[in-house]
Amino acid sequence: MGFLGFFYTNLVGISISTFFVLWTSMVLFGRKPYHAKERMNKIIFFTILLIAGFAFLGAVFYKCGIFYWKNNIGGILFSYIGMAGSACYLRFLYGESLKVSWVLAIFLQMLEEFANNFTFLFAPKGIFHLDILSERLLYFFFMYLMTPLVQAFLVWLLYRSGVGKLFGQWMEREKIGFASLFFIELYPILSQVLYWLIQESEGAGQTNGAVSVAYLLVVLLIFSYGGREEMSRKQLEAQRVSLQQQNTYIETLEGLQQEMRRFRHDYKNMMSGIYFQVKEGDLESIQNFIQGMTEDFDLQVGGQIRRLTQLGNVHMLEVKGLLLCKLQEMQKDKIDCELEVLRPLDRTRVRVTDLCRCLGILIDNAMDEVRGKEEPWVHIMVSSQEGYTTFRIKNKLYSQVDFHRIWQQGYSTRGADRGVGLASYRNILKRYENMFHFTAIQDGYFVQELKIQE
Amino acid sequence: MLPIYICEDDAKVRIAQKECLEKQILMEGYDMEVALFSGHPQEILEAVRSSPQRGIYFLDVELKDEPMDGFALGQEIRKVDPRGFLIYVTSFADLAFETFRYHLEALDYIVKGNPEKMFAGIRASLAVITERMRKEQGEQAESFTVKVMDVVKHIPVDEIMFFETSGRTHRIELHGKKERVDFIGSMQELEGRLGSQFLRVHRAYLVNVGQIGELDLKRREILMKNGERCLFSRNVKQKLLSL
Repeated sequence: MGFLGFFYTNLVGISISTFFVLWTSMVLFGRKPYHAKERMNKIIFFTILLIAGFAFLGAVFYKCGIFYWKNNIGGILFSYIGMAGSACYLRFLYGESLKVSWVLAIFLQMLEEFANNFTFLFAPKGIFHLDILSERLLYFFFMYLMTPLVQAFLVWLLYRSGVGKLFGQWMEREKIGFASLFFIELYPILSQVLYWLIQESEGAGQTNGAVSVAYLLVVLLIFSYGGREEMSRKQLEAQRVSLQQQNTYIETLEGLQQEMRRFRHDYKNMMSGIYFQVKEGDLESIQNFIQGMTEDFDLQVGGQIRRLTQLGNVHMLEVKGLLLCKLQEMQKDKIDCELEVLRPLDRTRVRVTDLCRCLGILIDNAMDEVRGKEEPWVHIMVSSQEGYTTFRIKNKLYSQVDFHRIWQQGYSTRGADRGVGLASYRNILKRYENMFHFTAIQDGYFVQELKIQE
Repeated sequence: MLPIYICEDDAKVRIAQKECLEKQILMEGYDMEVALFSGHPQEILEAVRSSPQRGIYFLDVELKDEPMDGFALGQEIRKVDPRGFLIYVTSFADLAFETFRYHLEALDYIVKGNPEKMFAGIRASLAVITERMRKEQGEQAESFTVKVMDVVKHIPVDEIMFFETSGRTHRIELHGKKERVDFIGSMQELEGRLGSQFLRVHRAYLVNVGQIGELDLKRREILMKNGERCLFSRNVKQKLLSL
């Protein structure tokens, strides 16, 4: 077979594996590539480029005899290049970090090899002479028909067994252990070594299948261990937040009780006062009295309840915890805070940890500006409307800030060790195409907005 | 003539509002009239849609047994009448008004618990509206309008320092005197839209010529009047010097 022959054969094979890379990654991530519709042309272009590139490279490797190098070094090299290629491809598709894409690429490679080995277990013999037509056809039958079928079955299995969720949890952990990463990375080399070891001890006839299975299991174990750890951490966090919330509710109720007690104490005096006014028939002052009393009640008792009802609309636990914590801080610092959550906030496309960091920075900015000043006031609005989520933090502005300088690293109106907030806020925003920021000084208020396109 | 619409589910309150409005219009000689008062948002919407023009709307926030609340009604009205005046009437003082103002550009809200206070609120709203319309006529400052997802921002052109391409694709950052706006757009499109007041001084910067303070020829930087800096490229040096 000539160079072009290899190239074309490779095209078919690599198209199939690329298809599985796409499909499996969608199953594992549980979503489509981001902006799939808008970037359709780009995605198609890169997919074709990837396929053609590797088909070409494979043909070159074959023709130059690199695949026949001692100890299968050529094959290992090709696996690494292939994995690096699909890691870049995955990063391009999903915008996940390089580490996550890399691990996923290795995992996909393992899946494919496993499928491959598994299929060839049923082949009549291990070596095919591609120059003979009948053998070539047999090889193609196993390579391009049976292997994809097995692979499709594997993906289906992954989907049904919920490995995607575990993988998602494992990814959320962000911190990937160095040892496990190293172990996963060594897959092509280690599997080759293991293969020899097995061959040495058992003699010929054994295939790589056992090795891939073992490896696959270990990786699944790593995923599931990491994933479960993350899950239990989240559960703990959830418990902490709900406990905190309950405490706040109880404190609020106790405060209300105090308030009511005071009212009861005053109420007799008030009633005797109004009694005389009724006797005199002074309708106007009675009206005023009733009005004043209801407003008083609203003002004194209402605020806390109001905030907590608004908080009830935030259904994202981590965000709720953050807001609760900030509300308490403000109460401690005697900052008057209002919270508006008109429609329930259920989810956003931004990673929760990043969202909380951003919100924390914005709210801290507002608090720092008003703390200790006259009539400190902060307003937080959370609004989830028609596919957009808006967080808007507004505070009274006392000092004349140099508006453009607040974005500079290290600039702060509050002293030397501050002012890193907005800079790291910007760094987080940079990573998301669907997050927008808006900052302004409006009528003596400092307004910070964070908008997310869902 | 500005039409006034009232949507209030309590018939007594509705009539009281209408009477108060008519009395006030007569007394002050405002160029307004009550076009429709109803308890059903659907009716109000149909009327607004059949004769789209700038109007004044007094809307109850809590509409019982109706398919939409005051907020949703406001959203629908805004689609037909983007410049109308929305005033919300509520029985609770704890209305999430910032949200209403943010999404609907609502003018004000009135608490209806005390009739006298409600009437005072209505009177004040009419006065504010007249004042605002009077001001609008005098106002000629041009503003730059940009849509950021579901809201539209207006920034006076004279207060813009420059536009900068940000690290993300198709994203532009507006540097204003009092704001920073991050939006989707392209420099070419902005250049075409803004005309000669803005000069493309660098691949990444489109600068308001009127806001240039000094030129730092050595470091090839422009110092804006507010103290911000941006870069310029070699081939616009002559153009900048001749300004």
